[in-house]
Amino acid sequence: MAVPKDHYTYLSNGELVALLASFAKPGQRKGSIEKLYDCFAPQFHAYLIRRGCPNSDREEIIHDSFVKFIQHLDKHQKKKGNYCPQHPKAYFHAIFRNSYSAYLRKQERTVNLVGLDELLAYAVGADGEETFSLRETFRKLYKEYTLSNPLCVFAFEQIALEELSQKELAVIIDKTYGATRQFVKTCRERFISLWQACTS
Amino acid sequence: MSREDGRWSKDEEDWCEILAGKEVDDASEENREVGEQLRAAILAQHEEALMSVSQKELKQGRERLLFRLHREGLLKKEPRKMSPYIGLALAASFALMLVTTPMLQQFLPGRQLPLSGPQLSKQFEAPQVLYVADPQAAAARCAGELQQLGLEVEIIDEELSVILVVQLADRPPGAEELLKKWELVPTEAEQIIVEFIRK
Repeated sequence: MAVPKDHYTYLSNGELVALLASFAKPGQRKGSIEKLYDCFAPQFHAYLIRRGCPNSDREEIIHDSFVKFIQHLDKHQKKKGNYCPQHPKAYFHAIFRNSYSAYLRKQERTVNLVGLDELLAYAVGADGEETFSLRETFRKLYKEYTLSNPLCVFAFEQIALEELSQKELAVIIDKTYGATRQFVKTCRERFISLWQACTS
Repeated sequence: MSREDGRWSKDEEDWCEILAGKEVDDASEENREVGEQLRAAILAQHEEALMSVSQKELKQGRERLLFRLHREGLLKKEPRKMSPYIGLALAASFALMLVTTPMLQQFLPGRQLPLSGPQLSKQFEAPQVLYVADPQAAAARCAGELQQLGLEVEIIDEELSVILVVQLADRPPGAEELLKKWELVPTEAEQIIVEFIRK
């Protein structure tokens, strides 16, 4: 299955750098911001929808991320003389994740985690008959894992949806390069063992 | 996703490659099975979520973002070129300020002229004041005694008071006693300036 890029303008790292460079050109700043919005806002909306964020709050979180990113770009331009910070895509995603985390801290979270027993019951069927659907079980497992290990799933999603390097992944999840490696290792092992528990 | 050094184990590398949708021929079975399904689940959920975002919502959101950026002064940060006329106007204003500032300071109370050179008027020294029953008579008697010592005495009769101005450049003998008698205090410029005022 291909990444559904036809729902939004997908930007590679190089294209994003070129877009950010156009911030400095006279009269192009507004157009560049609009393009930046068209590229990233749908993805951010999709991310928040997947996490069950209410419609009324989604826009505020996304706008906060854009404002912070543009402020960061201006600061970078002042210091370094250009609008192209290192790993801009990863940095923008990291800002977005921080905005979402800040939003969550303000909320009273009432998330009901799907228990492993429930998952197993679904997988083998309550009456023990063959109602097992690999795909559906996996989607439920993924949903459960999203709620119980949001940062792991966030990392997996970034790897699946974006063409990011390991260093960029480290920027996004705000860990050192070595810690990112350990983090991916742990997440992978945990997810595989959960899956094996469901299917064995 | 490019591997940038050899610190990642093959399992983690393969896991990331499979999640990113790349072909890994020699990946372990569990990595391939779980990784591919996880990727499929991520993409399916992502697409489902993307489909539920309406174009109208995005367009309105974009307009509201632009308005917010405008309000926070982040929409127009382009460097402005300074007109050559602005530089000229600034230079003219500075020159005008240099000329008018000393002129204006003359009219300010309690301020001395900042320009160097001789002062146009002598500094005024407040006279010593003596309260007496009859200023004219007391001033005349004091002036007479000073003149007897050979001192020059200037008498200024102001009707309600009398001022004596005496130069003490060379103090003649007997001058000290006379100053003590009248309780006169010379100024730094060796002068006696005393005003006799009615009690």
